[in-house]
This record gives sequence, structure tokens and C-alpha cells, in this order.
Amino acid sequence: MRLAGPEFHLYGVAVARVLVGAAGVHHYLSNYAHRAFMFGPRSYLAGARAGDGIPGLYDLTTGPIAFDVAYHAGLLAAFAFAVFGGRALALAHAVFFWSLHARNPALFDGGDAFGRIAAVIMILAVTNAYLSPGARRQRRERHVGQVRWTSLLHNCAVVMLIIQIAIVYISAGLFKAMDPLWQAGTALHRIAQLEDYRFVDWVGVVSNPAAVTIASYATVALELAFPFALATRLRRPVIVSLATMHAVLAVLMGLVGFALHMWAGLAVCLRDTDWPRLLDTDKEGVARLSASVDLDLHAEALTDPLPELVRVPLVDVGTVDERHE
Amino acid sequence: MAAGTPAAAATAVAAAPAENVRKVFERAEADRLGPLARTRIGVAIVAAFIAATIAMNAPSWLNDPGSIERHPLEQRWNLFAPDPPSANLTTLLLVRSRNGRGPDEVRSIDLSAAVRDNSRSQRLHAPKLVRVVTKLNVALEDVVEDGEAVRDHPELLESYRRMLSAAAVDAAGSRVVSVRGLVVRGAVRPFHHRSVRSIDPEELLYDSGWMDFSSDVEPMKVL
Repeated sequence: MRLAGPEFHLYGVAVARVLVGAAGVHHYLSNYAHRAFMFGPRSYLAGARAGDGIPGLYDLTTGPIAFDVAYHAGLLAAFAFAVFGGRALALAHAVFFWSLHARNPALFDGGDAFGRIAAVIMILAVTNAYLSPGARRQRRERHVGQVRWTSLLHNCAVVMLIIQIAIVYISAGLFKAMDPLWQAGTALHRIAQLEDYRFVDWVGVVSNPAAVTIASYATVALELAFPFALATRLRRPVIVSLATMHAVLAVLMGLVGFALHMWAGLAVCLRDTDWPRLLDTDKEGVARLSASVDLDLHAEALTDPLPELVRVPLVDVGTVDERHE
Repeated sequence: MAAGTPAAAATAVAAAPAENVRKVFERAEADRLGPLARTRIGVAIVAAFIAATIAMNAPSWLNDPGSIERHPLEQRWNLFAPDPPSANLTTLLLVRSRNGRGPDEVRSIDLSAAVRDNSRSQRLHAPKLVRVVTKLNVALEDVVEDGEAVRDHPELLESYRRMLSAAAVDAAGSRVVSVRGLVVRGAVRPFHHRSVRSIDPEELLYDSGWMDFSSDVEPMKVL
């Protein structure tokens, strides 16, 4: 990766933006019927416990109407960010989501914590180069592939997001590796019995010694391997395995918002050239997706009077990695 | 005239619309800062982020992985480790309400079961009500296990009273007089007892006693 070079991981950041925005919408809508009880001025939280002193927009909402206006504005900002992206909407979503968190931090799980931090970091990133209305026009106008001072901010944001998601997995993996229950390979049997997360009864599956040991060890191994796999060929299989693990947990344990946020973090770690291979494995599909993701970028670069330093050569799919990384 | 020079920027100001001016200045800025300077700035930004994250979180990660310090970069990634929860905590709600023709009625409700059922019925968009009840249960458990009196934590007790009141409104409307919460702990079965068929005993962890109904809280809308 060259921090001083052209913007990298544009497609992954765009996917992450959609997922972070979608997770925000999911958070607002899933709690919609209970919003006043959880976050409103007449919530169950007493006195100083409401927000624990962290400032937020909801401190300004002393009445139910003002609270509802803020809540709906937050929902709208999250939706708009998911659809359109861009720095202004990233800022709007970050402010509203942080404010909601400040109002009642106890209701935010680990996934929400990642989404909250990612939303702030994404203010620095180009999140709308793909997967948004007018993305192609946006790429043409911005001359994606050129180096500008905003390229530096975008690249820093990508690196920070990757570091953040690496912190998530390495710390989760280390905490598990230190625990006797995880070392014995039976931790998932205990977790499967927790009523709060029992959306599907899978205790029977993890009562099998082989199944529970393999699943427990595989979880720890994947989490610990993640940061080290990012720079190797194992990157794609490890990311796909972790994404699959979150999908399974979403079904078994009802952790849908958590899965959306973690998928967003994983998406950022994929290079632009990883996407065609992941989404479409046949040769024609790779070429087609490569064309949509990268080649218009190459064409713009070739016609642009930039110094040789940042010129992007027209290369085949197999060698684009070296250019970006 | 080379792109990126001040002369080029000046020409653009005179001749081009505002959008083009912005682009020229941006390009000039990028060219003026060489790649090495940009790399240094980038490394400094990333290093500042790493330093802030570590400085703000390392103390709680090292001392008490389960705790949360309130600060902007707070994060806790223990995710069922070390030592995943070893028990299911349940709040049983007792609601005393007026009966116009006789003595007050007392109704008991398994509040934890109600919020869990509510979540399971909305599998893909489960609200965080389970978290509301369980977080308060865990906070009460921590206080009791530390050998402290819950009445010495007035904010926790008040939040618990308000949460019970919000659920009681669902159950008995405006006739509610007082509420009472019992926190019960049911241990999960260890792996080596997985085949045992007996029912594990439950333990009463905390009894709030009768508390005045709080009428200024929004209904929970779950019962």
C-alpha cells in the first residue's frame, strides 16, 4: 500500500459504506417501536446513567417531539449514507449514531462499536466511488487514480479501518486463547445455552465433543490468523470464512447488526482486485467485473497529464495487486 | 505551462468555473507536497489513531476485559471471552395493581422470557430489549457478588425501578400501584454434565422488595 499514491480499496470502502449505513438503518428500525423507552427523555435510565456524561445531540432534546425529530433525522442520515455515500453524509451519520450511543451506551454491542468508529473514519474516505447513483460520473469528475491531498486522507482512512478490524479480531482471539474453556474447546457449548442468544437451539450440535472442539478451535484460529493473513494469499479464504462465521452467528444467535458491521470491516480489507474473483469465478465474469471496477480508472489515468509517479499502467487483472498495494 | 504551478492556478482562476479552480488547486497542492511528505503526514495520522486507541483502551483491556470505560474510542472486544457467561439471569416482575372492588391484585410475569420471546419473534430485526433487562440484571449481580448493598447504588436501583414500571404499564395500565423485581440465576450446564437429565436449580440473587410505581417512564411495549 502506498499512502501517498492514488486511492486504494475504493470498491471495498464502497461496500463497507453500504453495510455500515444498512447496519445503522437496521439499528434504528429494529428499536423503532421502543425508541422512547430506550433513548427518549422519559427512558428507563435514571439521572446521570443516561449517557454517562458523553455529550450528544440527544442532550438537546428535552421533549418527545424534539427527540423524535432527532431519531428520524438519524434514520434518514443512515439510509442516505448507505445509498449515496460521500463525506457529508458520513459526517451526518456519524454525528447521529454517536449521539444515540452517547444516550444509552449499554445498548450498543461490539458490532455497533465498530460501526460507530468506522462512521467517523469514513468521513475521511471516498465512499461513493462505487455502488451509488452517479458513481461512474463521480469517478470521471474526480479523476480517480490521480493523487490529491484527499487521496492521502482516503488512504489513511482505509489503513485505520483495517487496523481497527485487526484490533477487533486479534484482541477477541487473544482473550479466547487465554480462557481455559476455549482452550478445552467447549466454550461454544456454554454459549449455546445462553437464553439471550438462543434464536436457534444448537446445544445438541455442540454437545458432540468433536463438533464443539472443531468449532471452538476454528473460531480462535480464524480470529488470530486474520491480521497475519491480510498480507498473504490466505487473505481471501480467511475473510470469506470469517464472513461465513458471522452469517451463521446471525442466524443462530440473532446477531444481525453485528454481522453487518463485521462484514463492513472485512470488506475494507479486500483489495479492488479481490472482488471480481470473489463475486464471479468464471473467466468471463472476472473480466466483466474487472472492467467495471478498474478499467475505467485505467483509461482515465492514461489520458491524464499526471507525473509518471502516479500514472497507472493498463495491466491485466493478475498484476493489479502490485499497483495498488 | 506545467500543471500544478502557481501560474497555472492563476490562469484557471481567471478563465474557468469554480469547479475547475478547485481541481487545479487540489492538484497543485498534491504536487507541491512531495510523495515523501505525504507519506509522512499519512503515517503520522495513522500513528496518532493507533496511539489514541491503545492509550484509551489498554488499561481496561488489561485490568478488566469486561469493563467499559466511557470515552470516545471505547471498545471492548472480548466477545464471549475470557470466561463466557456461566448463567442465565432472569428478572421476575411482580405487579401490584388496584382492584376497585376488593384487595389489590398481584400478578407475576417472567419479564426476561417475555423480552426474549419478543426478540425471537423478530428474528432479523430483534430490538435491544433483551439487552436492557440483562444489563441491569448483570449490574445487580455484580453489586451483590461484590458484597455491596444495592441501595448504595441509587442510580442503578432507580433505573431498575423505572424499567419494571415501564413493563408493568404494559401488564396493568394505569392501575399499577407498585412493582417488585426478583433476579434469579440459573446456571448453564457444564460440558461434562451435558447428558444429565435433571433440571438445574435456580438461585434467587436479588429481591428489590416493593417499590413505588414510576409513572413518568415510557411503556416498554412488550407484554
